[in-house]
Amino acid sequence: MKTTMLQRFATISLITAVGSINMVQASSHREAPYITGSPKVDASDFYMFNSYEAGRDGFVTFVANYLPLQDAYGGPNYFDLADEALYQIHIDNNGDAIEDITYSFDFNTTLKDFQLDIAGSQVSVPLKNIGAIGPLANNTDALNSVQSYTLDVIEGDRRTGTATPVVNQASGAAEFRKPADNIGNKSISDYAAYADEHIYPVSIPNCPTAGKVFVGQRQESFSVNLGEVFDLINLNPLGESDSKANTLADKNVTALILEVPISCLTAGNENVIGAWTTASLRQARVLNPEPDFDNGKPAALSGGAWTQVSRLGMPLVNEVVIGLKDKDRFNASHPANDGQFADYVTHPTFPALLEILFPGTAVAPKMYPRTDLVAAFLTGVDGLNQPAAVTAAEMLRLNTAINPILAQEQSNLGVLGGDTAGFPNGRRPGDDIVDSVLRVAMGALIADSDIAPNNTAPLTDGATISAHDFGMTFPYLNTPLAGSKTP
Amino acid sequence: MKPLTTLALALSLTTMTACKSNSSSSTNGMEADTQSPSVTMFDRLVNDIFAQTSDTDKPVNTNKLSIELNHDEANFDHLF
Repeated sequence: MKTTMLQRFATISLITAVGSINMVQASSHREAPYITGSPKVDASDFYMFNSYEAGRDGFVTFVANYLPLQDAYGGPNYFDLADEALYQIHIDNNGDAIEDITYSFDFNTTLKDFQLDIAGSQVSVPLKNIGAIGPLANNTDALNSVQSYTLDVIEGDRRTGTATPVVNQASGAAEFRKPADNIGNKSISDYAAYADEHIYPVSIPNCPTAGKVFVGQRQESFSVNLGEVFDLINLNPLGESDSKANTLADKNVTALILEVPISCLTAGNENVIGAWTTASLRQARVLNPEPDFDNGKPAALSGGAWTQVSRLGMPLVNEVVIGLKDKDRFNASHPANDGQFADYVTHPTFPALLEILFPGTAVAPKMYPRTDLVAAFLTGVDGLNQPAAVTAAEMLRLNTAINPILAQEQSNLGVLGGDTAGFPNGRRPGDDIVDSVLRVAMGALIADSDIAPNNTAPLTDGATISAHDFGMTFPYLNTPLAGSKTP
Repeated sequence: MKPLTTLALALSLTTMTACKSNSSSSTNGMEADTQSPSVTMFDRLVNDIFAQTSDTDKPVNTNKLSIELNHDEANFDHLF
């Protein structure tokens, strides 16, 4: 009897249920040569899931992480996003690989330039804050630099479509505050409460039900045994799932988190949506040899058309699928043009590298083209999250008609663990996507073990993660680590 | 606005051909002749890109341009 891919997912879930297995890698942290020089626009993780917070049925939550690998103590400037960038979340709701809806975040930083009277001279202070901040969002009198943002929803093309501002449902304001980063306990005594003040109910144009938005620093949400993974996978991939430390556990990240009613995302009878995040900069930049704040002359000027420099949908694609020479190209590309990268999916190098690194143990599936990977990464899985009319393109795909699973009941292997509300049907913070991706790469979706001898191997990097590691309510990601832990 | 902007960019890049070392049938940066690429002075290119700042236009494709750096530190002073 022919086994469908979805059935194969279910079979794998039974096999792996015998032992809790986890494997992780960096999703998209500093994954391409160019983006390593522009961390503020480096998308590192992207999540999309049916909201599993109690009482939020009927909503989808998007999380786009940027500016990865933050050390909490990175003062005095900490980790503002880029005013000169455009951060966007795109939704394709008809399967044609072209965005139909875009949520576009635009940031603006205001430097107050606090000065002290030093023996009769007014002298600017060197610090970002000169007193306590919070707990209310507007308790920022002591904050020297404030970052805010606007959020537009764009219908149609992300550049030329119709843009309409999203506004605060309560006040009608179109500008939202981004909380200061978690400088430390003396500056912000209750950071969690202060940050929560920046969760805004929002009125979305042409959407009868309010959504939510939060932008701010969070604890890094990815889990990975990073150093050993990139040291030629210097670990036992069949070891215990929790035998290694999460290298990123002491890092923060900045997250753009948006919750939108499903009815405002889907179109017609199609329940599956695809989504990805991008960041764009102006095409040209000129450095100023003589920056002059007092006369409005910044350190650099940007001009020209928006030029995309970062792209992230499905995790790990640009990290371990796309060839090094094409990573910058991928970051600048649009899903509609993904045919140019098809060979990387149909004839992947990562399984072959594993075979080289673990001779006699790892065996790459001998099936080309890898149609199983095409389904998992490019089209969605038939019967799970594949649109009725789909153009193959790399993006995260979510069937909004599949009910969410409460956090305490989720499998961190998602569909491979029998939980169809998880990866690759969207992605939740607690989904251990690297275990899933590694196993899929080695043939977990191929039923014939003669073709894929490792198709049931419980591969892992030893660093685990699950929904229990996160909050169960919006904005889901955890309060960021404090730069100073002294009470 | 967009057609006008595109036209302006085309005209602007046409002006750039005054700096080129050999002739080309194309005057648009995205369509430059690959057989005998125009030499575009870097400062002119940057200034033209700045002049075409837009939320709706596409960026200039520089792959088919032969770009020559120049070393006048004052070339961008007018931008500040």
